[in-house]
Amino acid sequence: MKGLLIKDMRLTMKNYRMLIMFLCLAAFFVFSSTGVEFAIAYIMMFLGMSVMTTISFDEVDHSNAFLMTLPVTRKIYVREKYVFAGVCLLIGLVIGDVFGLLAQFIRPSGDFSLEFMIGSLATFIIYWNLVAIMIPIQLKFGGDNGRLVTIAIAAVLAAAIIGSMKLVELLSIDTQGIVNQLMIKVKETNGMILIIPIAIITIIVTASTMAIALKIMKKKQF
Amino acid sequence: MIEIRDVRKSYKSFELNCSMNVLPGCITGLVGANGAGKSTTFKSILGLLAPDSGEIRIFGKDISELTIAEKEKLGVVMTDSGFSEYMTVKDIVPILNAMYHAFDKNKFLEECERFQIPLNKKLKEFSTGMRAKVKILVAISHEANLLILDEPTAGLDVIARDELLELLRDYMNNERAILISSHISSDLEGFCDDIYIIHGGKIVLHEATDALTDEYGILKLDEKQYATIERKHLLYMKKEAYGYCCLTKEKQFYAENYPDIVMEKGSIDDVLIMMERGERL
Repeated sequence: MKGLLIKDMRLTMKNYRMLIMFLCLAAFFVFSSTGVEFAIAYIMMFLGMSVMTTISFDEVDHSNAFLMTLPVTRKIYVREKYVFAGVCLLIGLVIGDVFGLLAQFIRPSGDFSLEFMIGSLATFIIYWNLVAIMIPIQLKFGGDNGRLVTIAIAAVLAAAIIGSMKLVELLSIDTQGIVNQLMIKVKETNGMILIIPIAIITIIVTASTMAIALKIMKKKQF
Repeated sequence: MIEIRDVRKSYKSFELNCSMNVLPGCITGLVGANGAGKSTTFKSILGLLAPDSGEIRIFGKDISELTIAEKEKLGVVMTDSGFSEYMTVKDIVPILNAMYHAFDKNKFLEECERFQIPLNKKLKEFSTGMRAKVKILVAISHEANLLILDEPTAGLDVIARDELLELLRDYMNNERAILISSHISSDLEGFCDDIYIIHGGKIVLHEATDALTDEYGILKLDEKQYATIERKHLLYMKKEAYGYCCLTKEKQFYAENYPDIVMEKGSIDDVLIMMERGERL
């Protein structure tokens, strides 16, 4: 796996100009009055999505066929993509917190606080789940088609959410009351009540998408 | 080293039906025209395509059962695939170093220098020859026992082809084996110990290279000669302006019994042309 990680890191660094641009953007927000969280979200998105870029690189010129002849298995290939995504997002998380800390020193009303750290951790988890879902889609449908399928899935999800909200309205369920009660609980426990459900959802998403990605790779013919 | 038994793979307009063996200490060539099934055979061997039926064994095992350590003993060149073309040789070195225990970084870099391969240039900016050299240098950089080389000399000029084949000749020893394909048969005639000819997805001929050049011959016959000649040793016939061109595996028989006929030494190209355009007798 180490060799594949080095390969993906080297490929990602080919796009270093974009990363520098995002870092400059984050640095700009540190000095400005706008929240640094905005830039952090973009940095994490860039780093998290870089795993998709590496899959596209692997597909160009059928490079992935050659990769499968190296001392790796299809299982290792899939696992490596998840590890690489995790490492990239972790780097994004660290960069984000460093920028938050910098903002604290530069501006008296700086952004760095426990809330900021929880916020960046939440961004990390959201992106992790998003990337975990996108990996098998990208492996199955490739670069351009993969993006279209992702958009289609997002549209279906949005339609499902809107549909559920309409259904709740029709059934006259007091959603506002439930949300308020939940928010009180969250505040009472400093958000700790959310940790277990989020962890369970993340584990389920990771395990199931990884299993799907592996199945896709095992069936893939080059 | 490689054992292929009745491997079949069907597509809409093509069917592969192949059996062959690659023995230790031997350079085995797979020759065929474009679209004959060489790459499909190679991809099946490497586990990149799942055959519909049949059995493929490498080092006595199914490719899917090979351990990582056993895969390290394989060196592969694929005609239409390799490391991402956005990478440089400098990018490839640490990858190989991490993947292969036996990778000799210094030797690899020395070879790159010998072949004047730039280390910091993207592979996509390389000439066809340079790219082919890098692929072969990568395949032989980690003491692989089995080299599987699909068209490693494609697109190269005569000098570059000779250089690369020389490199591979030097690499061979009794414990190693090479399976190499090419549509340029002259490359393989002087290089391989054993030749398989594939045509329309089927292995149509398997001979030791020496036997192919010593026993096969092309007879050039006029109408009268063709009408009277013993035909039981003729394999293929093709109509020509002067009469008939025939392929035989019993060159000696015709040399002794028909001293007047014009006969040329057989070559892989002759066999391929006769199979493609000739009529089976």
